Amino acid sequence: MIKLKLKLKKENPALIKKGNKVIGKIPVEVENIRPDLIKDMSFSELEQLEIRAGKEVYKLKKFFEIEGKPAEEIEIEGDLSNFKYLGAKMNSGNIRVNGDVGMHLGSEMSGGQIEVEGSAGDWLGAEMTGGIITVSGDAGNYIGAAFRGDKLGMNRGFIYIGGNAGNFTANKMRRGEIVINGNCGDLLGAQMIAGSVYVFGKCGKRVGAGMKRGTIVVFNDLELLPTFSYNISYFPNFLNIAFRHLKNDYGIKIPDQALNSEYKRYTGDNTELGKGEILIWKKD
Amino acid sequence: MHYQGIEIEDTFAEAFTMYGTRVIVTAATEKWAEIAAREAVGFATSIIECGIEAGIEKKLSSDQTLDGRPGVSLLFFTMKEKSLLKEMRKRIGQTIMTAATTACFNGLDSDKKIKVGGNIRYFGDGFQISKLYDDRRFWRIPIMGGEFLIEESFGIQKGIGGGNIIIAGSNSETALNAAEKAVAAMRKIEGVVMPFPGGIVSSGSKVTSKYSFLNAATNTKYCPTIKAQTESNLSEEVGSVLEIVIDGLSVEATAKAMKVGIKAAAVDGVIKITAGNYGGDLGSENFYLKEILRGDLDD
Repeated sequence: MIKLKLKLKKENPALIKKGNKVIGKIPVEVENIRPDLIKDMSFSELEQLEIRAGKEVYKLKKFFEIEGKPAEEIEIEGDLSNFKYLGAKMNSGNIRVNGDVGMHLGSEMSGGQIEVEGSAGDWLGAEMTGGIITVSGDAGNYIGAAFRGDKLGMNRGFIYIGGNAGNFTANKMRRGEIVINGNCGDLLGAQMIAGSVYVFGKCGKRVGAGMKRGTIVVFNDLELLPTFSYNISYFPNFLNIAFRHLKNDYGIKIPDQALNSEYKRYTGDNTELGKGEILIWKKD
Repeated sequence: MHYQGIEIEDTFAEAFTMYGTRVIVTAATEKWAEIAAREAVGFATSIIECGIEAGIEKKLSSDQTLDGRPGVSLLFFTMKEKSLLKEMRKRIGQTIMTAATTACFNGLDSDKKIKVGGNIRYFGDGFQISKLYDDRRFWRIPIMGGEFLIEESFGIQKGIGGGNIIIAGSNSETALNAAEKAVAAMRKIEGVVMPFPGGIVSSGSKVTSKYSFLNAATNTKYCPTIKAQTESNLSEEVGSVLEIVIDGLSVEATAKAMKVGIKAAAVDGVIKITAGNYGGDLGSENFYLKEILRGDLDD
């Protein structure tokens, strides 16, 4: 398959140097690096692709060594932790990153897939409406969330974080699935409207605060808000389908014991509609 | 024509276009999956009086179902596309949802769908929860037994109803023995059901009657006890006639079922095997026995 390979240059315009020493990095906005935009470009058009670093506009070739051809598959190598909006608004194709990525990765994307072998910043998949984002390491705050002032967060699509997640994960989430393999910060699923979130590690405080609907499945005990009510301990059959879907479609490892064992069902937030649910796995 | 020495009448089965769907019912145990399945396909023998025709297609092991529990695959058929939703909603709502521990899923890939679960969800009285996986939407409906899980949409497609074979035996025992063997063989074919009790019709009908208020009456030409009183298709030796009606999701599956059924029914005591038709003017598909058994006939 034809691939486009971008390798971040050791010397690039985003580096702030004092003498020979790098003392900082200017934020770089790469919303143009999108497979669906790039695939039909000529090589020279690609080289001229605009990238904004701070207040300056540069060409792609200033930042990256370019190999291959413009294609639906983009492989990027380097520390992109100061690169924002990578894959934002993309609707098809694949981006694979070997290294860390900055904020807004895949935000508002509607299709395609982003894989990161590293960690990612805040607002990952914020307001996405489709597609898949997988991050092997940690991710920041506001994963799959709504932007300030907006009503809906993630609305379809799938996000997997191999490590830990920050605060406000799934804030105002409307549809889709988020899986956090590690721990999660505070306010997971705050103001959640629908969708499913699974956290295999531990969760911070105020899980589900203000949630209307939606499902949060956690695999460790947590401190619940008093505005959630206990209903029952049981095994909900839909988890048979949900877990098989996560395993078969996304390769998520589900502990065997998690199938056909009991979950405590809490519903809330009773300060809101009260139709959200938190399912807490009863390990023993 | 003969097959293994048994007379095969050179005729055809006249079948009709129907609309079909496949439903997978699962439960905590095989026992409850079967109970639900049998209830769901009960009183669904003939479209004439039942509104729908249905049958059990096959049992499914837990690794063959969506939720990893034992299940049963069911096929349902109606004459009109529109009535399929109405009938399915009633059947699933009253027989599957009411059976302990069950869940219900679509078993037919098709672009055309009916929203069965999407209708039944209202039983949840506002507490139903939707879950969407891979563009398949499921509804979790809170019920007294726990939670009933049903898929929102079920695929439908055009199918074939009324494929049939008729087995004329020397007596009731031999006819039943042959028919049971035929049904057992036909049940191995995917995409077909035999909707009558045990897969066998003991009282086949014709589409006319001497009474103005009745659309169908006993198939007098095949009734052995009145063969001297009326025009009969039966020879002197025939003592009992049984029919097997087949509804299939495709012409191919129906033809295959007829073929294996006829071959399995060709046992000692069978006088003749034939098929029912209305002269070929009413149906959409004619299954000629000569074609179906091509290459297998003795002469």
